[in-house]
Amino acid sequence: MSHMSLLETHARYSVAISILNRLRHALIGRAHAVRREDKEILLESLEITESEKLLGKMVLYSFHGFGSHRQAAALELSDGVQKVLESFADKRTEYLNALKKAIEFEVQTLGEDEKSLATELVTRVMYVIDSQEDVSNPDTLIPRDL
Amino acid sequence: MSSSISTPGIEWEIARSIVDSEISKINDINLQKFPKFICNRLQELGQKLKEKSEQVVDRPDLIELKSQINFVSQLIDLFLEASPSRSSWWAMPLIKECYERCGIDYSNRHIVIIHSISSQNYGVCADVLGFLPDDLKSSVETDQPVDVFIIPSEAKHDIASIALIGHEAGHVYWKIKYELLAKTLNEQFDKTYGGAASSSSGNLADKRKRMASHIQEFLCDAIGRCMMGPAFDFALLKLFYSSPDDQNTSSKTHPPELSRIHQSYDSLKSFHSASKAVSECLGKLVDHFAAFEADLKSFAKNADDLFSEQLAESIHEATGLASPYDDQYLSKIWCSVVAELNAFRPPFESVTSDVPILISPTEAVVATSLYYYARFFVNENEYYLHTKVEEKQRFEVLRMRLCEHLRYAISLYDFVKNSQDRFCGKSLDVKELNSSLWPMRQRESDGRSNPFVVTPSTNPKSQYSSNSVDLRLGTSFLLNKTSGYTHISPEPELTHATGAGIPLEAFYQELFVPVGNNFILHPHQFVLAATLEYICVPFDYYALVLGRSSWGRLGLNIATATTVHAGFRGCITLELRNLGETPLPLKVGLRIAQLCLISVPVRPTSDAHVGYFATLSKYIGPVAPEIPKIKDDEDWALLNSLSQ
Repeated sequence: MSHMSLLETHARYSVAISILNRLRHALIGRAHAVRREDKEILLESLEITESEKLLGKMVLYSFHGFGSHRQAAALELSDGVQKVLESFADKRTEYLNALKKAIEFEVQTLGEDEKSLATELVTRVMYVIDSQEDVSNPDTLIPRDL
Repeated sequence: MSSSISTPGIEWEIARSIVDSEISKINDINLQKFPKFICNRLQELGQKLKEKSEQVVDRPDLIELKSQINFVSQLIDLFLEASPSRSSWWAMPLIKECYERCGIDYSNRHIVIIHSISSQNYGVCADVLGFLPDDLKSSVETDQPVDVFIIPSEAKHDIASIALIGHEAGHVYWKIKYELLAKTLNEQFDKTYGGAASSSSGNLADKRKRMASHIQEFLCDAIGRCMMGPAFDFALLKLFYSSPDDQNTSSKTHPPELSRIHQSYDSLKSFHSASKAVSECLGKLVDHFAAFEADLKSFAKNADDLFSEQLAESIHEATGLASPYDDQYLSKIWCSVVAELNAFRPPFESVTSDVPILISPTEAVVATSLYYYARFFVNENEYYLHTKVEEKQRFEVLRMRLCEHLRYAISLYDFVKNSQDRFCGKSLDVKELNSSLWPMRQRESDGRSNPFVVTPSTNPKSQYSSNSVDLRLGTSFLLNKTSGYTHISPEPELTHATGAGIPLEAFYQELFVPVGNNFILHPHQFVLAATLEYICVPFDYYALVLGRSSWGRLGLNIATATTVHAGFRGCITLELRNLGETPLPLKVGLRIAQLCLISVPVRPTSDAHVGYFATLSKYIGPVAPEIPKIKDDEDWALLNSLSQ
């Protein structure tokens, strides 16, 4: 892993977690609405999560250091959502529907159960993405640039 | 994050403690001499983190702050490793030349070089501040990207590894040209792997990430090859030769080393030159790695590795970047550089009495790599041929000095190029210099080359007169510092009961000041400096270093030991002292001294040309001030035996 990859990996995780936390704040009433630019990235990440074929964006976002790391955070968000849903396969549909509704519509239109599910999913994804910054990974500790 | 809290909770405590540690690291960085805008930017970053920490109210908020700190900490650690005053900033002109050859406009980018003592590898982070999270970005946006290059301290002792900078420049190139990369990649990935997505999307995602990383490495190798030709291939092979890793398999981020060895080995074999000497040297470079032959024969690339390699090749072709290292170019750079190396001079320029021809950093790296690793110096290098020291030491001194000379020539390239563009181009009529010492640059005595050389040439018309040459203040300084020792002792170790064995290094601190910057010499302060120019004194002359009267009137004394021996090669050490009562800013690169040439009073003998190297002089070819080597004097043993 090159220094650039390592730095951008941290940057992508950071963007992804910040977007999720802002969504969480909206869901628990600390913020009024989800930012439009956050919505775009969240929707893109869901598109990647549900995609049946390889998207051009997925390919591009796999390259560290190229393009916008903010846009590329969609890939990390998608990976995080995927991992949480794999662990809670029985609640997959409810989780996904609640999250989609939270992103696509005003948070106020969600029922309390939906808000609670979406908040739980968002928080779990935050923790999953955070746990990927595992310093015990030797590739992370010793960046290889050549 | 919520902003109203009444009593700070445990989340606030945790947040402040992790932020405060980053702020204290930022304060350390600000003590160093980074460009002001970087210091300001980091200071502002610390302030923003502090504000964010005030808003943390629950655990997820802490997770968000921690993820931002993870990034910021990585960034700060990079800068913490850099120390502009003792760093690898010598590489700046080489990086700029690589940028230029790739078509990157470096006037719109800031380059920061980190002299890494912890990493053994080169590295780069292109547009490093561009990765900052939006809410930590500067309110005063800088429109210039900052590229951070990491250069390991090993580079000081390894001629070959310098060529690896070409690979790192490749990472910057592809960061800028990602659209070209994206277009080709998307087409090819869809064509090759698109259909398989639905059945194993998880595996495919991993494969995609893995291959994306591998392709980047192949692409950057291709750029390195364009920048540094055979020197890059040799450096990469040398790097992998000592690699303990399994060279057959790939890692998450890198293709199998044997894939890259294959490419570099083939590439190195493909170089040819119109010059027989260069062709022979190229052959010898290949011979070093004959051990790879067997590994390569048994190495079979898997389909994914082959796909990555071929895709990288086609993408590289689309860049239109071509290697300039054809037969003619290799011969040309060899001729100009090797003459300098043979004469034990840094490869600044082709030294003749005509208009000087500048040698670029990449040319110097390529030719010096060939010269050293093909052992061409054995029969040609003046130091190696004439010194009387034993074989192993002779080899070691040559290796060390070649490395220093190469780095020194690279470090001054921008200054020399700008000076020569202004003063040595078409405007320089060398006939006008005929009555000065300039024609002595190309001179023979008794059928041997015996020139008086002051290199690099920056402004000959103003520097040369009929009996002297003005010299500039160099970039390296040795400052006296306080130490835990009671006194400074010049004696060698274990010869005397009192005070002997105190390392002189403990009393000196190295400082690097780039050309154009000031070194402040305080009243009565004593420092060792060096001339910027490298001097070769003929064997039938000696020289005196004298101050310039204008500086003397300001209180500057430049030397106490003023004689330069016949045959000397190197930058002359100056013993600067401010005799005045006010601090003196000395701008590095200014003319500060003059060198007067005086004929030796006795007729030189037939072997006088080897005299300097054969005398076992303690100061052979230095490019920076060196600590006193008086302990090497033979007299100590005699005098100490008498005292006992």
